[in-house]
Amino acid sequence: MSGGSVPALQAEELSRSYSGRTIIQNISLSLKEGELVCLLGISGAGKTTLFNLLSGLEQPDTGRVLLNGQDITGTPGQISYMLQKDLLLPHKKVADNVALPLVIRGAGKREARERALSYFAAFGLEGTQDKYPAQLSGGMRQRAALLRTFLGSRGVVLLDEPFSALDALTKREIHRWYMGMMDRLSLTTLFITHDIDEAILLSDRVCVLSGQPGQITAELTIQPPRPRDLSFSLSEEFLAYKRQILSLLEP
Amino acid sequence: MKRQQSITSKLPAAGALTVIVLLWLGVSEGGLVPSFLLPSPVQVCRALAADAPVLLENAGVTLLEAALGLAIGVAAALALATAMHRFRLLYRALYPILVITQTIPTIALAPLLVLWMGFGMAPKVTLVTLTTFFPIAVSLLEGYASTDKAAADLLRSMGASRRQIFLHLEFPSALSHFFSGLRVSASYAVVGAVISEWLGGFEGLGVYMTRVKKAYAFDKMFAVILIIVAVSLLLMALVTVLRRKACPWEAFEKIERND
Repeated sequence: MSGGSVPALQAEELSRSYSGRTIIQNISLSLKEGELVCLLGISGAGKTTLFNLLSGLEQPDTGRVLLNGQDITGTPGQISYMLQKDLLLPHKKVADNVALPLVIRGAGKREARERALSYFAAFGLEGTQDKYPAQLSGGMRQRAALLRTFLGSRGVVLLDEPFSALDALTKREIHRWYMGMMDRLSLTTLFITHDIDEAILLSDRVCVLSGQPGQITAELTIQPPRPRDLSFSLSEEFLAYKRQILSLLEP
Repeated sequence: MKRQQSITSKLPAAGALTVIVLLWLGVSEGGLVPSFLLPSPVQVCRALAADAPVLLENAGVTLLEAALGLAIGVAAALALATAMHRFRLLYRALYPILVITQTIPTIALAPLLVLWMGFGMAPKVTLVTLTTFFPIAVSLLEGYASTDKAAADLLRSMGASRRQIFLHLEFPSALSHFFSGLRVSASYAVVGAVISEWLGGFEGLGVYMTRVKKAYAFDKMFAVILIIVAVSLLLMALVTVLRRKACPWEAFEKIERND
């Protein structure tokens, strides 16, 4: 299924309009297995709509979504996503929150918990399993939400500004951790952000989503191999990418 | 630390209560009001002690009626609110009726229930059920409606069924609201049972009250009022204990807010 030629995630000509207003138009995307693509979205460019279409929460007017070559248009439960708001359920302990996607799929509570716990160390969550989300710091909560997203995924995840609510230092810390983590998990990731630095630092490719209706107006490959050192974000090369993206965003 | 804080926060209320009791003592013992109209706290305590066995026996009956009625009210509210939440049409059909029924005064219903059901426990339990049902049903409906929509979408994106969304998200989200409603209902329950007993019956605090009223035994009237307060507080405390057991996460959310 995941053979070299078939993209892990493919969106074909997705369009969606609400009461006569077109929100996104002919959006096509293709992600290879293990690739991390950043969608640099200007607010109002239909980011949330694209998200709901890809995750199967909504049906597109036209177009298809393919997961490993299989049509999953409008079918939830295939692609796992995470938002800026961690959405950990306040009434469940951290381990049960993280194990939730497994339980939803029919796993026994204990078995799901055990599977979740086996990743706790790698996600820096040791000792938090029996705490409630309200007892965790912001960075911890995002990591728990990431682990939940990962456990619920079938190899492809959508992340919608997952770190944008964190303060600069926590964000830096989590970037460092995330880059190491991504490599080990070899997840295919579509990462939505409006933080240009974050996009350049983390991704293999940057796609610019802009306009009304939203369209992909530019695409840029970030050459240095992942995982990158944080010092990359201070290099000339990094600045060149940033200049290029800023000029693409100019109206 | 937290315990200490909760003691200091209760000090003003305890102080105010002491002042009120002292004023009462002064007014009645000082002869400002004749003691057959306003018995002093000392007299009330004496009546309380003298009639303790009878009072406790009657309190047991009233508490039983209140608890039974409350339990049936909770069960009915859970069933109806959940059905109304699940079926929009049912909600639209029943919600206005639910609100209108609440404008019917309890006291007006009580005599009818006695006529229909006799002088036994049935009309008391029914009245308590009727008065406690509404606050619980409404708080549950509000609780269900307060569910985080983004969290519901997240669960749907995991492929959750309606039943799973209800079990993992909507019901636990509604629990805090449910307990707030239950607390209000618990205090209504005792009052409802007493009122119902006034209008006819053989035992219970309401019956005791009508009896001592006819004897103009003011000290005993006050004693029974104290017992009613105690029974209501007991029931409310029970709700608080249940809430802590059922919603252990709330303790941490409060700490977070204090920080």
